Amino acid sequence: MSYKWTYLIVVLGVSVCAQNKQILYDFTDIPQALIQNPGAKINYERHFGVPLFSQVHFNAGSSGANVYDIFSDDGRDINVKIRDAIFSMTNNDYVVVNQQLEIINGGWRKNETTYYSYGLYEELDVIGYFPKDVAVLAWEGNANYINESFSLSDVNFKGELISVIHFGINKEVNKKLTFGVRGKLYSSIFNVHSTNNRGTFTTRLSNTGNNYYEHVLQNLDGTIKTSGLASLLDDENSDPSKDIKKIIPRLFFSGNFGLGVDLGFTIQPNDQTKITASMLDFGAIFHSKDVENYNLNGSYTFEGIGLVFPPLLNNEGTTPYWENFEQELDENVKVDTLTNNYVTWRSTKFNASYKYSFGEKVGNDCNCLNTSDDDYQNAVGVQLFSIFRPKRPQIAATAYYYRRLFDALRLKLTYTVDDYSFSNVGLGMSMHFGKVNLYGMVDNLLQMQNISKAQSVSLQLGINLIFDTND
Amino acid sequence: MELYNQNFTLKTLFVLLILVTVTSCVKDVDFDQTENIVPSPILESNFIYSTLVAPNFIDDSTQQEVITLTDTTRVEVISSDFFVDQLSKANLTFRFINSIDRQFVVDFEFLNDNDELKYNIQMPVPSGTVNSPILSETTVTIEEPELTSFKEATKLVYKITLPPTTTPLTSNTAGQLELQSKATLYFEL
Repeated sequence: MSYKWTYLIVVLGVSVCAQNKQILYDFTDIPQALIQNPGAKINYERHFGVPLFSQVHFNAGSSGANVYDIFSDDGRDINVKIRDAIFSMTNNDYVVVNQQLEIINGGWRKNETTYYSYGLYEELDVIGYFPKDVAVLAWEGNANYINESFSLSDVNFKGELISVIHFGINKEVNKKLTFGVRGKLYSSIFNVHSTNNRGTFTTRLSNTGNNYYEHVLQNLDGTIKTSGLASLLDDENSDPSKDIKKIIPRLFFSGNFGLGVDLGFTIQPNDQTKITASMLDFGAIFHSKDVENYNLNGSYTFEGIGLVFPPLLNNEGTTPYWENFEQELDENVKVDTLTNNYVTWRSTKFNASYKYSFGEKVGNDCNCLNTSDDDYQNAVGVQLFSIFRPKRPQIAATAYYYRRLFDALRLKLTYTVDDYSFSNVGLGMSMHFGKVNLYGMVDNLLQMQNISKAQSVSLQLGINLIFDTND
Repeated sequence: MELYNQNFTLKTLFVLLILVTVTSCVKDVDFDQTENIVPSPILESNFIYSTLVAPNFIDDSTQQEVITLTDTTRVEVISSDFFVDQLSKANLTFRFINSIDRQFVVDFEFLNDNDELKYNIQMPVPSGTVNSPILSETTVTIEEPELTSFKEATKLVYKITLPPTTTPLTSNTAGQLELQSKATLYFEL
């Protein structure tokens, strides 16, 4: 059974979240937009997120197979469907999971042009590329692949759970330019990654004529680096609650710390046009505590066990062929456990947007601070998102329509094109009842009727208190 | 009153959003199929090989042809947990290339640690000549019920028997007996 689940996880990937928060980005009615762009143009006096409820974000996605491809109740043999899924995917397909939970988020205006914001959030980020060669070898074996190589370079994944303490400064230089910067202190609860693996396994017809085949392990060089995991896996208990007790202090005191920075700006050439861009999580984490790295290295060719027949009538007994083979393999292909410190770079993200506002102005009676574009009833815009990933950046483009209904409801309807799909329609709404701000966002609305067909799912919810000047 | 209506509309919308989120359903999907998942890889692997020249069959002390010649290797992988639990069928293929003018009978004896015979394969090897070596290939399929017994083996004895003949080998006989072998292993994980 455990094997079966392993296959499923490999095929479906660990899933979730492309970090793209296309609905939230530049949705400046919501304070969390400041996390997406520290240089967002905002006009409130103070904000405070309801602890643990100010932002719940979950996103999972798979660029390859979806749940429906494997589990649809169509009468076909599931093994055939899994095989089809394996062969339909390439080693550039991936699954991602990203989940964030804001524990604290707040901010206050220092003066007319400066706004400070701060917070603490937890983030889980996993990306695994589909290890096609390994999957084919495990699912089919090598029998139909004589003379073909299976590559270890297909193994490429990383996962981390971190906490982030941040402080940001938002500065309005003049009516046309606002910029912001946010400093971040990362604490890594655990990290595991394996990238830049090399080497091949080939079964080929023998060149020497000694036997049918040669099994060749060539230039194997594979590494899995971990921090914060060894102490969780080594302990005797299998009680998750004890592991959780170990994890919670690491939100602040893991010992594996890192630093990062977010930058962003907003340019408003005129009343109706707004251009923004941001770069998030440019930074690194230094892993030195609870580090355990595994390294596989070497080359070996196996022709079988060669029996040499000891000379007749000697009393030495038989040659220990099997032991010799195991020893030779051990000497040529080394598996080492190391505790070297290492550094991981965070997945840096880029956002950019262009927004054009039009229609009637509303709500001026209760917003005397400025005449921002947000006062228009309508806006349309385009956004670009990119995130650095181990193999290549992932890119998404979004077009959206923004609408104010009454004074208390703001809606944003998005259409996004990315690696997952061409049919991702999302909807976000932000509601303002006095000081209370409720917001919710879902994408892939068209798949909601049958979520198993969705290549990705993203969800954000939160509650904030927002104070305007006249409150 | 108008404010009340407005809030009411907003609340309705919010409730709708939540409803869409939590009631979005998973249709026409049967997760019980997980039970039927059986990865079935087929591995192709070398097994043993050996080359003996004709004088190897001569006893050093008596300078006479031996009756049998054997060598033994451990094959612990056969009784490993992975094989015991997952191996559903095995094909063993043995190829002999004989250029010795002498026929042989070969036994592959699979033994456990107490030297009890768990599986045996016997095959004749026809005689050849240096100028025209004779190639003979035999494939044996091991399935249940024999497979369970086979999986108890930890050792393999390669035993060559020289049947009685009027023209025995001498230390001057030319030619060699080559063995190549492979296994095709069918797993059900």
